[in-house]
Amino acid sequence: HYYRFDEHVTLCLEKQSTSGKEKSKHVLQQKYVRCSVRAQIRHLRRVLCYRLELALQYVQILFDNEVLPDHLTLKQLWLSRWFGKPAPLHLNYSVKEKRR
Amino acid sequence: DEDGFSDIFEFQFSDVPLLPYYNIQVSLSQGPQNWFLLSDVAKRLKMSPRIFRCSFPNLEVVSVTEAEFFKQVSLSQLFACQKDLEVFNPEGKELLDLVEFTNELHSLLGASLEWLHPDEEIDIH
Repeated sequence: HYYRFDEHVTLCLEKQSTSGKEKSKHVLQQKYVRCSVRAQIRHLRRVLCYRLELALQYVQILFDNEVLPDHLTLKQLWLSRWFGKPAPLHLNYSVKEKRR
Repeated sequence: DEDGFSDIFEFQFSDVPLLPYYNIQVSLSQGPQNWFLLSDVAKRLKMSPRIFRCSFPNLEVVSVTEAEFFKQVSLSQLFACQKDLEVFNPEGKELLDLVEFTNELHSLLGASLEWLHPDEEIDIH
């Protein structure tokens, strides 16, 4: 069974609000995202890191201020947190600052 | 699959809300697949559906009755929200045109794509 025939979820992925000079850094320009229900948080993180040009350990994906586990599928996420709500599902991401 | 992209994850990115996909089985010989409503696509591209079909004759368009469309879409757990389905008539006899998505159509709609192999090693820099 191929992923492209799967049901897909639509997400809106926004940077968690931060203050100061970091506010405008690492902001995803295209924040609406769609992918297979079988994709996992770790897949989404990898694609997001690629887009933001950041290494994987600096980026976390959150729902309602809770960090989501890597192996959660987007179907599980939708059914447990977004069932009955309209698309897109709203998620945040946070960027941990590198040590200088 | 002929394009070789079927066993990898495709992620679409857009700066405007994505048009909905509907996962529909249109014939018994094929499994369900994802379609756009032709009317959604034409509206987004500011064309009439007829002009759209003339402009992109290579895109597959299929028709299903509104009732059949509603029946299949409403079975999905992702469409548990009334608001996403309220524009459709569960007993509608009219035909709805569905259009297959292609990479060309995604770029016309302003989406960009990333592909990811599901089992690739996670690269930590």
